Amino acid sequence: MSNTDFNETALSPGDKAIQAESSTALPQDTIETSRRRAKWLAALVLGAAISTGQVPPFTHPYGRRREEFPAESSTLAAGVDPVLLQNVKDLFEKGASEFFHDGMDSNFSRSLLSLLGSRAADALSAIAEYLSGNEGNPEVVSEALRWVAEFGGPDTLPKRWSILRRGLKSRFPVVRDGAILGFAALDDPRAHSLLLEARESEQIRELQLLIERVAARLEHRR
Amino acid sequence: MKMVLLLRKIKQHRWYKELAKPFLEADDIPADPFGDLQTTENLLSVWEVHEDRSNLVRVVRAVAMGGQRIDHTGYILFDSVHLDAAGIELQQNEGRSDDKGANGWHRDLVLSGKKLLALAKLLLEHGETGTITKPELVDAVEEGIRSGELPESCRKKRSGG
Repeated sequence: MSNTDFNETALSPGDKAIQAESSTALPQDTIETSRRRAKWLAALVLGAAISTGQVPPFTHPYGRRREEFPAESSTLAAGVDPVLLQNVKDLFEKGASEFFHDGMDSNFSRSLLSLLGSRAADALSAIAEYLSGNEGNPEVVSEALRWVAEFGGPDTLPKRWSILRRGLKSRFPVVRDGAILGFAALDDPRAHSLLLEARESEQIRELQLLIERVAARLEHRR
Repeated sequence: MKMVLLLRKIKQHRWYKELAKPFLEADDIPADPFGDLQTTENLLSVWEVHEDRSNLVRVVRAVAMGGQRIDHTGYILFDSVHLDAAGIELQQNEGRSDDKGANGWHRDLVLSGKKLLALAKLLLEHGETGTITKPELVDAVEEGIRSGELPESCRKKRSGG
């Protein structure tokens, strides 16, 4: 079974993560059996931990994957058109075969802009939802953040801002690079404190310097 | 060879030193940087930057204007003194950017496969990367048009046209 013929709407993000990590060579009944067993064991262990007070209740069991691009709100996922979400997924997967250059268009950027042009706010919600599953190729996500930052007017700014802010917290340096450059393109002084906060936790020297450069410009524009 | 600083346009995230460190310690280099070292007829385009870096933004602007639109532009700077050790020849060939006054700073590195590998290694060991952001370049283009360094036609690239 391929990922594309899997019924996305019937699965929780955790199920998707399990499915993504499962070998496609395994028979479906084996996968289902092991999945049920794993869920039963996870529930047992989690229940025991909660009862002893070691784990706060309501922690998402797959939090490690979710924390890269945490969902903005539970209502966001509910409002996303599943067909549009699939289009976004296809677009990002196709983008992984491209090689990006600064200042040059790509098939990915053209398709992304076309999607944003036709469904601006809905497309941004779908992109945010797609990234919340942390499924994307980091280089493609980085490229997307650079384009998303500049697309649209004040009405879509909160959504774009939210997507970029999450990008700053990615574990992939290339994604953080895209988010920083996205904020640089916005050239909005309100991002100053956000960038300084990101600077505090940034470990890559080149990204520290880039943040400082962008923050200095925004400070000057205040 | 007289020491000069040379600049090559790159995508900066392919050159993070921290990520390259394990490769260099194993006497190897990561493969990603080669994506930014495409040669034409065994020549690699680079630009000379003054020792005090006073023409850095102008050079990056000239390189950036070669794209379809003005965008954030990454670069790597390195000291030409390292080229001697790798046996890499530096040729002075006029550039073809919109900034006629900057074209005299264009150079070409004459490379073979082995020399390209040596260059990638020396850039990872000694190069200094950076990115000039899009808003900075937009300002620099406006300034260039005002001062006459750039033709009026460069303005359309601000919006990608």
